[in-house]
Amino acid sequence: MRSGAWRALRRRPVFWVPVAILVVVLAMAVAPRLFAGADPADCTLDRSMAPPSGAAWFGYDFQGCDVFARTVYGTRSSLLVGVLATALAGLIAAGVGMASGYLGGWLDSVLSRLTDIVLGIPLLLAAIVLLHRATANGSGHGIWPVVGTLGILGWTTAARVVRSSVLAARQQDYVQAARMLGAGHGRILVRHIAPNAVAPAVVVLTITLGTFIASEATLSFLGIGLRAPSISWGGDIFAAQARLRQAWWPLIWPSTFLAVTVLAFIMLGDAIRDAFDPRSR
Amino acid sequence: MHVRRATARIVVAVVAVVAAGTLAACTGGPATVSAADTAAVVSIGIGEPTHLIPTNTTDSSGAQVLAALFTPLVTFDRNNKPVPAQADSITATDSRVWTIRLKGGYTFHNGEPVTSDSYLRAWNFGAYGPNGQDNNPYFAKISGYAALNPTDPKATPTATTLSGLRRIDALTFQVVLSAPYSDFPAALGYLAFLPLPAAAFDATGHIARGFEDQLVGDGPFQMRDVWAHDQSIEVQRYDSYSGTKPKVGKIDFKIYQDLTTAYSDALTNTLDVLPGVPTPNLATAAKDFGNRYRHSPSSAFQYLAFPTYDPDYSNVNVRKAISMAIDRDQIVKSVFAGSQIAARSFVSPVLPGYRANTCGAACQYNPVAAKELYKQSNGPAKVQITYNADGGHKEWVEATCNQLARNLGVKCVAQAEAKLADLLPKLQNKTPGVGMFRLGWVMDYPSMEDYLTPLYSTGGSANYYGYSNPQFDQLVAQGSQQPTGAAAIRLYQEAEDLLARDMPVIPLRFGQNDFVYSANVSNVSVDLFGDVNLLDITVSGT
Amino acid sequence: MVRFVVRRLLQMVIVFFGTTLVVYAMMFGAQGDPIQALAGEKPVSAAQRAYLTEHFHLDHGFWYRYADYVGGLLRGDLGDTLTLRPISSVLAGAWPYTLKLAGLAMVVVVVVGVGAGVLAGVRRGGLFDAATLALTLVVIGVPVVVLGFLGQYLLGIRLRLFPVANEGDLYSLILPALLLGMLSLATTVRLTRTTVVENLRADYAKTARAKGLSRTRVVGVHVLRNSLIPVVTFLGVELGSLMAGAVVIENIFNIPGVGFTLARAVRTEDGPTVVTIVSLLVIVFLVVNLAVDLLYAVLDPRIRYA
Repeated sequence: MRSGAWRALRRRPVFWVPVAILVVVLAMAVAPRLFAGADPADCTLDRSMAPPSGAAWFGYDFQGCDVFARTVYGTRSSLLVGVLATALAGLIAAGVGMASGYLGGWLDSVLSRLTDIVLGIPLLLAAIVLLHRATANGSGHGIWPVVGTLGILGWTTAARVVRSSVLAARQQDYVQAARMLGAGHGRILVRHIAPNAVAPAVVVLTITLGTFIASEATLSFLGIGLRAPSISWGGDIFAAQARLRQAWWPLIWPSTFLAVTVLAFIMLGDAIRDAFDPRSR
Repeated sequence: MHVRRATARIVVAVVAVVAAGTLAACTGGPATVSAADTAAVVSIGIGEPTHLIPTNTTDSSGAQVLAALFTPLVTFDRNNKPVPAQADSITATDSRVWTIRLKGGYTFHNGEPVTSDSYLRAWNFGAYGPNGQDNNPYFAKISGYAALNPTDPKATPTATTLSGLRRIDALTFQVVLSAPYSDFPAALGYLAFLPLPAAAFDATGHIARGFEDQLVGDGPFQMRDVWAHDQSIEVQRYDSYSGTKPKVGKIDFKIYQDLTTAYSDALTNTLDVLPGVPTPNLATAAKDFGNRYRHSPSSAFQYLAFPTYDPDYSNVNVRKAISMAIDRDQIVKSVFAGSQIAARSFVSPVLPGYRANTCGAACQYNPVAAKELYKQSNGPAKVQITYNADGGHKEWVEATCNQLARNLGVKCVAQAEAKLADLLPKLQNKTPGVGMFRLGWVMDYPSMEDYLTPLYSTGGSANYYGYSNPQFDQLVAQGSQQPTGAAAIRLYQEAEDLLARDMPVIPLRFGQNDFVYSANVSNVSVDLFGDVNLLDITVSGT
Repeated sequence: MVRFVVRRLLQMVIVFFGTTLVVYAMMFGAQGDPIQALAGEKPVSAAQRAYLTEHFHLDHGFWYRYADYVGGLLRGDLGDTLTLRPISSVLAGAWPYTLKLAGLAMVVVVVVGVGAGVLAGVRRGGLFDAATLALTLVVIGVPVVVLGFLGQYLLGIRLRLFPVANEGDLYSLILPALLLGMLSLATTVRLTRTTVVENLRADYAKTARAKGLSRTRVVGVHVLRNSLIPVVTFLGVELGSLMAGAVVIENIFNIPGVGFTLARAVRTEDGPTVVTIVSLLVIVFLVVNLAVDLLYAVLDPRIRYA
């Protein structure tokens, strides 16, 4: 089946376009120097809000930093936070959702209520409290506190979607048949039920990825997210939106990069889902 | 609310003669104001006040509302010298025993006359430790304060009233200070010293339940309705007021969580006056409001402080080099659109005794000399400025950091702490890794002493930089005991000169009140404390 | 069915106390100095500090304070805010605003989101599909705060279509509700689209078509009903995000609702208020999700609750 999915993917442009975008984005994250000649930390108010020109295609932001350089250099932390936090959230969601939906019973009750508690507590609030603690302990200003916080708080929607897909799949005739044929729980879960849950989970998770990158922005804005001197799209978007009425270019570029990256992830998610979905082949 | 303003033009002339003796009052009904007059409504944007009991009010929003509801003993003239308002006279023989005579004829909004007791009652309440009033320290200079505030906060005080307060007759009382203090009349302008009516208290001597939501004061305006928390505080003219009467009938204090929203409301004429324009809006304010965007002096003082106990910054020449590497004028121009003033002295220009440029060469922008001095004194290769993310300081702190990086050839990090409340404990505990930090100061009353003591004296309430100079402490203490203001100022200035030598902080900017108002109102002015002058403001066309 | 509901209600009690404990512990642990937070830039007077410490038992241990708080809750006393207003009266003022706002936003999400999702799913690969995809992406790519300010600026200040901020009436809530709804709109559209596409491919849909039922009827009755299951789950869940989004939107539009109150309480480290509001939010959330679970049974007859 895996090779089948790969064969299906290989032929589709819907797969290759986002892959191409993500490769570029990834390259920017790994080696920003190759893309931007200017130093993102070379800022001076002398050229505050200078419009796009030959010297700086994207213009300068309020602090007089090169917008293009900052956007390129911001890729790394934004991408890392988004991807790692989504991976963490996806893992938790898969575990909780499948256990809850497949095994049912008291475990389902416990896990569902746990999901309810985490879901009911607004992400922003919990993040403020958790990150506040992390920084108070002095346990670092890197991306890990942010990744951990977003992952720990952001799995709930996906978990519920996984659970409901598993719940529905469990009732399906082919699953019942497999069980009667003596297939073990593990085999049924992996071969028959998980593929059903992948599609909706991927949809939710790709979107979660976008919201994570955006949430990182909110946290940076509140002073508890990524900290200086790290550069992130979110931080720059926030800085620019306050002075949108003076200049649009500092806002539009990081926003565009953010939107395009998220778009790439979603398209990729769509393509993979279609490939893995046995019914669409 | 603003819709009604269309009919406001007919107003004013009718008003003046409304019977003074009638019990217009706390019932909140339409009372005795003529119909036309009530139409003159002005809305002013504020934040939600934390408290409105004068002895417990510390924020500017609360102060603005109290300015409408109360009359202080003194107000300040053009030169920021105190002039009697509700006081008839404030006299002293030796700056220690002060006699305050009140003007007769003032009444609270419930008809109760304002007497010596109104003041003594409120002050004793505020000074009594267990009442937990936030302005309690303002009574510390009055004799007998210690008995009301035992050092162990759990102990019961040995007295309930200040021994230094003595009623002489219905309109006269005496205040005995524990030490001579020549600026006392100026201090009396602060809202901690406002009176309260008997109705404010219940049988047990606490503030009566619900009083704070429907405050009864002695000012030009009275509450029109109960305090609608997070929405508005609506007041109307108090017709039996014996001071100068306001020119509008009603004021709605509209409460905003975020001043950017208030700015937008002002832009669409939904809000009449916004006393403080948010920093990012300053750049377009002139374009948006034309000549309805104004400035007035304020006492705000922004500075960069050093952890003087940190070996990185313990060398005074490093501190001076950093100061010289900052182009204050450029930051004022770019970040604040010219609405603040570059600071080169340690006290605000609004104060009697202020001298320009006391900081000398150390506050002049000179990147070349700065770099040289920095190198000579082995300044650190990496510096950090910590700021609180909740006060809108990000832009200028980052800009300052960029200037240091360029001009000194160092790495500079602008580090955010979520809240000032997170930063202060770190400063108190001298937690390593904070680096330089930004702080600001706004005065309570116009006296140099209100800057020098808390900011720079040993153990001062806002001295977070570990600065301690016995000579400085002595000069300030001597100054505050001088019989005359002029003598005091001489000593204060000598003390300020020591600051220029020691540079515990870098003066950066003096603030201004930047305010905007809609076309619906005119004669808008904002005083030294950031409060809109409610007696002058008029509705346009009247 | 009745047993199921009773069991869930009992669980809810446990969850409620679990939540208060978790949130209380978080606030307790994170607490820097609530009294200093209250005072802002000014130093706090010793008298004020002693008074508040005494009033809120700040000098006691965690369990003492938690027990004291829960004890108050059980007596129906929600306690006081750090500024000494009864929390019950604060909430009484705030709830109506948030209910109206969230209700309006939900209407936007359901009507526009499900509608657009079905259309995009039916005409998969068409122009409409591409357009909705693009639009949802823009919405996802832009943080709430930026979206809020942009919407306020363009529609409120520039075009003057809506009031810039809350004026107390329902009309001034429309713009914030639209923007709040936008957040969930993106996911709703995509989820509806995905499930509609899948169900269109399912055997029953093909059978129904083969039997000669009109496409409209197949989509409108059979496919839609089955497609709504994950969407309804999501919307139940999404109420939580709406509440959280309300924190930002209510701030921008100056709506004195629950989010507004919560944001300030967090900022001022007002422990009692935060715990109470969050616990209440969780209860609302639980009740809604119980209703969602019951809806399952209605939408999907295969699911039975014992």
